Amino acid sequence: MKKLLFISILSIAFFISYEIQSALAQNVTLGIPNPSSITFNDADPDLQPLLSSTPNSVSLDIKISGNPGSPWKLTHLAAGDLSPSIPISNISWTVTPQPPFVNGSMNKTVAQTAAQGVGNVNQTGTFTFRITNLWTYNTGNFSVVTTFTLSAP
Amino acid sequence: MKKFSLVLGILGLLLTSIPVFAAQQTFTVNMGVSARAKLTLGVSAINFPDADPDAIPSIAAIENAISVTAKVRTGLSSIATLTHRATGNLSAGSGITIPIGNVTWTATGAGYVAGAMSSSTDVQAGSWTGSGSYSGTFSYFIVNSWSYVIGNYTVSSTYILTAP
Repeated sequence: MKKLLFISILSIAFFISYEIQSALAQNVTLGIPNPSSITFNDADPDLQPLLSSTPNSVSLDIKISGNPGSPWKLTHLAAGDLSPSIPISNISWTVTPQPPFVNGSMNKTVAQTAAQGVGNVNQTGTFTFRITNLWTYNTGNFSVVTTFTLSAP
Repeated sequence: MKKFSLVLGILGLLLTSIPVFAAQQTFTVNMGVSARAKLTLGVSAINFPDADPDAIPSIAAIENAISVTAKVRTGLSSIATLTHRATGNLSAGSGITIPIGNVTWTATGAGYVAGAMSSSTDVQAGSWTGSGSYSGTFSYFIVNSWSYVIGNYTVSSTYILTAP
């Protein structure tokens, strides 16, 4: 009986080890956003109620291998608002190609999905960012750091 | 028992060594907001019709109430101001005048204030703290006096909206 128990536990251990070894073959690579920063320049809110960033587009490489049949996701999360008068949620993006990339808006509390899929992936997304331009924005120069996270599964 | 412990130990090591398959990259967003001021008045001229001073001691402008919108971008605690100043008295030429101080206005809308026209000082017509778009109305009145010499009077004046 003891031998049977021992063999069972050992089998489970080897099985788990095999699964881990399979998982270890996964490779998740997230390229550096190009460019790594954007700027929204000042403009008359009446003439330009929606501002595009400078530069106008940002490319991002996502690569996942060794992930057959398992889901993956790219998310985006901001560290905070641009300023007390400029909510980060006023910034939205459109992105190609769709799928796997998806449009969205920035958020400082909940990571937003920017791309998702199943299995392996090797794609470059091109993001275009825009901000609602309001008279309520107070003057100043503002900056916020955000994070893209690519994960599998 | 020793074998059992050994297997559990190996199992534990394997489980705690499972890696997290994720990668992260940072991305910075910048924005510059400059001071800005924009003033819009519903009309560019007002007219006071002639009337019997006994019947109508204060004449309302034909165009009352006139819409006004002040849009400003300024600092969080900065105060934007709207002032008015006339270039002189109402004049019908050849020294025939009506004191500009006889023209007053009332105001509606947050931040807007009533006042009397002046050609010697800037008269406050509104003030606001911080950025925003502020709408209201001005209604103008002139004292109607028997002392006024007949004629067609005119004067120009200026509203100045300042966003520090």
